[in-house]
Amino acid sequence: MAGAVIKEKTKQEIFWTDFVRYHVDANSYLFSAAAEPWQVVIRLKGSLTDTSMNMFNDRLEDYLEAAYLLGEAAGFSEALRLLYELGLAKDYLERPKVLARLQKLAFELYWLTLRLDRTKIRRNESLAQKTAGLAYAFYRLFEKALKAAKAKR
Amino acid sequence: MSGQESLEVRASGADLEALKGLIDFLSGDFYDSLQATKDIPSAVLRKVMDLDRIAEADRRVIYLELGAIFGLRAALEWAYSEGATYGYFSQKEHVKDFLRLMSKATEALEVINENDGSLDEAAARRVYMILQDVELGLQSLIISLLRYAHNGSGSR
Repeated sequence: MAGAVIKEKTKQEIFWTDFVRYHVDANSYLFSAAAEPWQVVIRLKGSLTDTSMNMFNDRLEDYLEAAYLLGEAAGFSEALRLLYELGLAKDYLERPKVLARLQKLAFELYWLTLRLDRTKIRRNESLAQKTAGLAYAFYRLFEKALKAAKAKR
Repeated sequence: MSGQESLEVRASGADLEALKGLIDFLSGDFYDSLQATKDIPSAVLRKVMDLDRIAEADRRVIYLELGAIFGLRAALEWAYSEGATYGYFSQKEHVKDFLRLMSKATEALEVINENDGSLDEAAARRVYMILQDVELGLQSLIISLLRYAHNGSGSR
């Protein structure tokens, strides 16, 4: 349409409208979206499997390492989810600061999948490095959540 | 059952009997069992890395599973070293649950060895399914441990 200005969605808007599409109660859903990045991992797994191999040929090792590290992030986040669901570190994980951290991590994971879907990976950018950061962040959160659960016991 | 099959079954039973002491020793201390099995996921990873023929998509999903196993193992190990397991692993049966899972993971190595340097789709799927079972088993073990720690009882 002539003259119409189409505003592109921001990354955060895409996250809200696409990934977190069913949220009703902001805090509770936000938490579950953030604490269950397994959904995102499955999407990434699909992206990795379905994407044409030609594109990855020169960076296969980086992708494979990223896949391993993503699995690691999923392992830690799964352990975190179990802690939460059993009510052991609920108070800690629902603290606003921690909640914000989880949301940020979920968003980062999600955005990584979007970029893979659209093959928007920059040259010289290491996916493995980015994923390693995420895996470590989930590990640290698990560590702190477990300490909180232990202190509460 | 042919004579040879019967001999193989007896040999396998004798092997298990001979290994009983080792299994008892390892299940007596969770730290020992962690140490004894720590290289299993990376041994599978190296084998998969070295395969001459495997679809890259299969290789990647196997990597994802191995990463998840590593993460869950590390979570267990960390909980144990921090004293957050509250005697759960003082019970040999619980340590044996862990050892059974690690033993299951070695089945992935067997499948790879049987296939001599290449994994077709069916074999890759077998490896993936084995690793997925291990991952789910580790999750169940963590749930069981957390429930125990929370309730302060041995109920599973």
